[in-house]
Amino acid sequence: MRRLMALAKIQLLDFFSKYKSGMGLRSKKTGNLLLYLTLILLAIPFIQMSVGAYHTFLLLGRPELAVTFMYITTVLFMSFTAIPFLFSLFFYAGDIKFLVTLPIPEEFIVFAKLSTVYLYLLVINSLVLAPTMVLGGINFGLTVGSIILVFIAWLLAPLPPLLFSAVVALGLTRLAAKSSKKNILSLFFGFALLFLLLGIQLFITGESGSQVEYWTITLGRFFPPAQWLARMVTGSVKDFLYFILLNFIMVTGLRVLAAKLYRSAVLAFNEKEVIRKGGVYYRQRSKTLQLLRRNLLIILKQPVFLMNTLLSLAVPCLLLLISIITGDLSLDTLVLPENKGRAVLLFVGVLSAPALLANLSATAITREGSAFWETKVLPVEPWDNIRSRMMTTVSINLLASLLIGSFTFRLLRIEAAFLLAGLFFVIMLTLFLATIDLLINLYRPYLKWTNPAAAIKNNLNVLFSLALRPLLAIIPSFLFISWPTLGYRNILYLTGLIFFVLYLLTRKYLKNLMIRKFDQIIV
Amino acid sequence: MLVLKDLTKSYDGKKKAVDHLSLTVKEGEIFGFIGPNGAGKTTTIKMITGILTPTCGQIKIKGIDMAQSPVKAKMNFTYVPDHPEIFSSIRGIDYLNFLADMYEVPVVERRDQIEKFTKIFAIYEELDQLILSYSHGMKQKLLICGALLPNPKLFILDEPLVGLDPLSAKKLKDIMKEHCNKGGTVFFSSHLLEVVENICDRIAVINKGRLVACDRLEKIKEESGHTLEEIFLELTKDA
Repeated sequence: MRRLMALAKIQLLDFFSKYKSGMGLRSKKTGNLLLYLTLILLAIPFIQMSVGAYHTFLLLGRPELAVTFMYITTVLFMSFTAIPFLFSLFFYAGDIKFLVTLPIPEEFIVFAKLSTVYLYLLVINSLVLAPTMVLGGINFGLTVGSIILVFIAWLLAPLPPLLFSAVVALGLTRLAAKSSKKNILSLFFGFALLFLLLGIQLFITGESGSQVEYWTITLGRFFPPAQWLARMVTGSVKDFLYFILLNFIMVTGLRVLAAKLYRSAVLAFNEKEVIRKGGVYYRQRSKTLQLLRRNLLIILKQPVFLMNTLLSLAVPCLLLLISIITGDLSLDTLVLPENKGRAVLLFVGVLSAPALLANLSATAITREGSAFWETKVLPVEPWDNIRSRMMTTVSINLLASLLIGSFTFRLLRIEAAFLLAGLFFVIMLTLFLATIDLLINLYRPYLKWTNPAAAIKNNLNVLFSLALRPLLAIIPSFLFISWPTLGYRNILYLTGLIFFVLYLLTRKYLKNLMIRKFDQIIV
Repeated sequence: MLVLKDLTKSYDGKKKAVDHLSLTVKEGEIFGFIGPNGAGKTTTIKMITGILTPTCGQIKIKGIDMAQSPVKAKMNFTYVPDHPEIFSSIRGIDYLNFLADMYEVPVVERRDQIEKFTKIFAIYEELDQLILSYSHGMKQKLLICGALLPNPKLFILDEPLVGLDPLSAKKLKDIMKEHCNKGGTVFFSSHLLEVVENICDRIAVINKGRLVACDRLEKIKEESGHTLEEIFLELTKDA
């Protein structure tokens, strides 16, 4: 047991230290402050969702169903989060090769790694389920017994999805590792998580109250732990015992399966696979094209980078679709002449979303990690090297904008004159953001990551870059307030022009002053 | 071919990883760069290749100042690092074509060179596979093939024999000799004293960032009357 505890402690220390170093933090105080700030920022929408769900069921007169509904949601949410996380912990973490050689039972390694995931899920639980549980507990009258039960429910709630995810992750890897598509699993669960989040919102806001109630009761019947947990919040000791028994059975099951699944999954994952594609060729390309291709492939061939990029690009489309389906956005009303301005703004907003959300330049250098030295030793001008990274961002974001634009242009029936103004605005915005984000990355390059997720997610550059976005809204807002007669089209052209000037200035700064900084990046 | 003048590198502004290092590598010679762990070998090589910027000092490659005209200087050398950490989600042949384009090697020449070296190192059949499926040794061989492909005037290698099987190590040593016989220059670091002893024309010993010896091996041995191992241990005893 002492060895298990020591192993779990090391895993937790490693996780938190990697999280902090991934953020690119230097001082301990700032580190902690930013860590908590990130958590608070992430927490707000989830707590809102939890409280919103509670109020929906309260209005239906069935507040106890809120816990059932939110636990089902949380279980799905936790599972879809835990499975890719487990993949990364078990198969992409550098410590596995070391851990398997230690004289410790394999189940200890599994449980120690699960302890990190448990803490992660406990945070999710605290944000998504706990507010509903607390509100439910208050509604049913708080006693010492019920407070203890709510606290135990909070602690136990992540266990079933965690144990379930562990079996699924290890089992799926065992099955999928032999195919060349093992990375697709991470991609699939990433998309599943996004669809789930948006789907839940759609379900709560779109369906009628009776439908929500009906589906929650039906799903609760298929998943009794959700009902037990709901009754625990109301003070039922019997349901508490059921829940404990379920967890005991699952832990015992995992102990039996852990060693076998883990061994076979690790072995299968580490089996060398031979992927042959095309033949040997000898083709000449320009340096610029080769550098652009390299930077594009770094995103396209790394599942975590690809998933992150695709998810960022998919969000605006999905939000638009959901708004239309739920009726928040009525197309019939939008196409009316008096709503033309609103439609144009919506069109430009959707068109700008790739540049605003997929801040690829903020991690353009970081993404290369330990392979960054490669282009540094080559006979390539540093400016060409930097420029190829900007061009990569611009190509991906503009392609996404054009795809989204061609779809929304027809949907919102935008006039050609506004289409041109919108395109001009978006091209200039994309150019400016691709340049300024790279500047952020140049100031704070982080190359020593061991897990690709750390390069793009736990990265303070991404937050800095996103924080810049709302500030940009000041420009068109100022123009609109100062010259209300200008009209949307002229404001778009004028703002685009300002972004172009900002792009030129940033580019000049990058080209003249940041080359030295680029050369000094230590690999 | 390669001139280092007062080359210094400090990472923290206090301790010097490389301390006023000066040496000259002549055309057509195999130059061995040896020293204990942490002596500053890799830091020196990283500065020569442009991965690190020197704190002060000068690097000239074929008379071209690395700080003034880095691209021109880089056209004259290629580099094989001690750890084959490269972008590995592409195929071996993609990597070699990428390098050939960077060094502007024409198609006919690149075909000959790629076929020649990948067949010597027995990785030709694996060129259509993703690099991530390669073993450590195969990656190392790919890097060596890539570095030989533009027929560089200066061939820089950091611990090149680590990870290579005995046959490939022998082939690499033969290639290094052949390269020098054709007028090329080889600069490499190693811990393997017998390799250095067998193939180098001149050696430099570095300890705590400073150059402690630099001459023809025979001359150093003659003057001291000891084996290379004894000389190395004596020169680096305070490491």
